[in-house]
Amino acid sequence: MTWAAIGVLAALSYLFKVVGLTVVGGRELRGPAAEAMRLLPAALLSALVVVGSVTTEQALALDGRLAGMAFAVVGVWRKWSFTVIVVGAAATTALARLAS
Amino acid sequence: MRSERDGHRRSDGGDGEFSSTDGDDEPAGDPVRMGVLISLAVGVVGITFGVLADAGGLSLAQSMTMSVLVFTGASQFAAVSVITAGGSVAAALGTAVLLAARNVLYGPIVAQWLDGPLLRRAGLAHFIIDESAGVGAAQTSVRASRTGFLVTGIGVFVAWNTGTLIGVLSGDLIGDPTRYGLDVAFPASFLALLAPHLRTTPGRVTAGVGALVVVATVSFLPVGVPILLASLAVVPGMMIASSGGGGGGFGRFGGSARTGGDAERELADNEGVSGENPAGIPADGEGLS
Repeated sequence: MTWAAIGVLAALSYLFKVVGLTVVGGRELRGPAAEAMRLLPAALLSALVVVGSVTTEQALALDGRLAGMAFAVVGVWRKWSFTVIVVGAAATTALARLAS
Repeated sequence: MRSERDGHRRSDGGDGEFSSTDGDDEPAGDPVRMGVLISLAVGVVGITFGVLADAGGLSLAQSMTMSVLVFTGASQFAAVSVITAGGSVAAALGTAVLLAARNVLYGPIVAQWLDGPLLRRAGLAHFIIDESAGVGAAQTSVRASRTGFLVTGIGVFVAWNTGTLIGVLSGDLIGDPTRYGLDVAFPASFLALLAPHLRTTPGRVTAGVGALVVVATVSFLPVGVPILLASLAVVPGMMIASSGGGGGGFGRFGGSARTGGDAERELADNEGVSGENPAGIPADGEGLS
């Protein structure tokens, strides 16, 4: 991560917040653009889940991470806290690697 | 303001959990208590971010600068994750910026609670995150909403940064992250953040298509680019939403299920607008706005 990238990200993140607050004001955002913004996190987070759990560089890879992700799926389903899900998933993967 | 908000409410019998259409009769949680509890939870998530940022090669100064100035957790996690996976800075930045775009949607809601000079409101804009908007929206008066927003926004800011600091410093003690399965911490985090978005049909369609885009393109696109390409998955999601297939769907203040259920319910209520545009503001979840 470069300093320039961090600077750009910081500036744009703030811009999104301040534009919504001061320019748009008390009106509710509607229309396709608002809908796209609502759905963007679903697309990106889902992609990040796949990249992080079943890919290595430019290839699909199934390994010990799957055990941890199985734990995470159960945790999300059972509504465990974020911390329990993440730490438990890491521990499960570590154990799976020890066992293999 | 409240009456206007109630005007947007709709009967959502499809979701028993949110079946109330008259939120004013419901006791809202104490905004200060709610904000403090959420802040504490977010502090722990901040530690996770610090550890992963350290493992991803960010310096202490870089991690802290991100947490202080970017202050939108999901984007920070995403940027570090793409870098850690070997992606380019541009791909990391693009993913993080796209994730941050949803904060535009919170501004108009928060604007209803804040007054005063433009400069002051512009300063407070930095504290707009999933949690502060959610706690504010859970209150039944403008005054309580303002209190909830400020306590949560500033409390989360302090906790998130303290957590990041602790995480980076303790990251040095950990060494090789794969030894403790820490490489799975990213996808597990993202899964937890994704969960609230899966409660709506458009959200599920978008997430599913996004995942397929990655699987289909990961072998030939540069690392990180499939994630950017997956953003196009909002198109089928929007088609489902506009066709009314998303009935009963609206965003929930998801992560707060563990820390402030009222905030979750209220933000959801607040955003239920109409059948043809059912999605509310899907918050990313606990600590990761």
